Amino acid sequence: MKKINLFFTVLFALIVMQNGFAQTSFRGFANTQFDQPLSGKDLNGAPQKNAFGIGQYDNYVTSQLSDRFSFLGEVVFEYDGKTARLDVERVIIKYEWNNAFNVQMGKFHTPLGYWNNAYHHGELLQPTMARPFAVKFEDEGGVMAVHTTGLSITGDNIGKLNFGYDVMVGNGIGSSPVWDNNNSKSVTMNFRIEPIEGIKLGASFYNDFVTANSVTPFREDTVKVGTNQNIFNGYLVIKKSNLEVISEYYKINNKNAMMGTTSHDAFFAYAGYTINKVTPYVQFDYMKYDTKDFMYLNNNKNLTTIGFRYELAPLAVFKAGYRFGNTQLGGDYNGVQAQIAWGF
Amino acid sequence: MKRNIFLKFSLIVALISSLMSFAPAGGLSVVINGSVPNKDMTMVELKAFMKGTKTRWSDNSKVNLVFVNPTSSVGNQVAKAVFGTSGSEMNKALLALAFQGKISAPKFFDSEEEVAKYVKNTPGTIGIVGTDATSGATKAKINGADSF
Repeated sequence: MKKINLFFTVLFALIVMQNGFAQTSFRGFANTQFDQPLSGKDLNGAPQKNAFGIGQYDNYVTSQLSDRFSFLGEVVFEYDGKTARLDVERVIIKYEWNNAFNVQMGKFHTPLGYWNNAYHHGELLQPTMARPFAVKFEDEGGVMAVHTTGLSITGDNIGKLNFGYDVMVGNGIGSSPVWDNNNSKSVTMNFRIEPIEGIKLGASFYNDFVTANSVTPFREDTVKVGTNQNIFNGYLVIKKSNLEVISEYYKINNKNAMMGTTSHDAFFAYAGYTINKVTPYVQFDYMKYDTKDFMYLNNNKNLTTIGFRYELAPLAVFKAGYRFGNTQLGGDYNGVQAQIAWGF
Repeated sequence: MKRNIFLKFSLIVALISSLMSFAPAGGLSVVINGSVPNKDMTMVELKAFMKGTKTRWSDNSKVNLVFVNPTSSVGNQVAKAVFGTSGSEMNKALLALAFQGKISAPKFFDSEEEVAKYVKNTPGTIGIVGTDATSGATKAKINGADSF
């Protein structure tokens, strides 16, 4: 570990020595919100309560170290229940070879699907108040490794179809950003085209072998037997004039000697139409678990949000919406939420 | 007969006047640093550079982006022409691109003159200003024209 740190320190120093001081920018995001459940129960069966809350306090830095090397770092302060904690969400060093081939190393958002790479921890940039179930963060009830530490190659805008790709290998489930508990690396591939300006079609795939007794980030529980995970994803994104549509489907297959193959489905769709400073939108979010699987807390969900975004300032938005549907453990749910998100 | 001709003439004048009132404000010109090899590009290529999907010029040198304040009238015009959105939506889109690690954080200036001056003095840089505000910076042709 010390050797790796020394390597990166020397590499950074060499780049800076060669090119003088880097062009560096520090920015951040924050948000605050209010939830008013009108019906629905929490996981203990008690009625849900209204609450104010602060969201993630996100700080990020981008730095152009040289003509070809750049750095992006993102650190988030957040509350885990009652305790505040600090999470290093992304640390990426990138080498730009040309438009079609770039190499990156560090901790990333796993290049699965569209949403997980378009929207990170700043709620300002995200069109809705919350991330869809499929791409929720691992420690917030997520179902996939949305962060991965490893090496990736990426390229965009290739040929007449505007082909783009990401191929990544990294520490898989059961690992941390500084070590892995097995030699089997996760593999992620994402391929996309934009044949017509504003219309993007893509597909992605993830594979990892989870070693027996690995602690998963999803339930903070151990996987009893070695499990092979395959995730298949398809997405369609339309951004034409004032219209924005994002829809994604995920199929998560886990295979092991104890359970055989279990299969989970997730789908979400978002559509918004901007009229001056107001964007009314609708979001549909669906998650269906295979009850045999022990990797997740099975809680099928089916929720729809009808809401709007209002631009308070160039880097501040107010979002509000009415959410309704049902969850397996909480029963029928409906409630209203409001959020102010900003960048600085 | 004379009355009929006068009526027709008045109608034509009214029609032309109304059409002129919908004509766009002054055009836009793309200014590039003298080192940029892409001196003639298509609108599609311009959008790819400005939106960060192409980050290298044809000689593989780095593309640096500079914008006039997105909340200004010209900033809004640039946003509409290149991003198909308002100035503040373009601002968020650029912030998102930088946040995704796809582009280096772009520079913003309050005036078009500052944009043109920065472009003139900074290798690899591209910006968009009003046709009359290029301040002697090199203009790139877009679809063969000096402005759009």
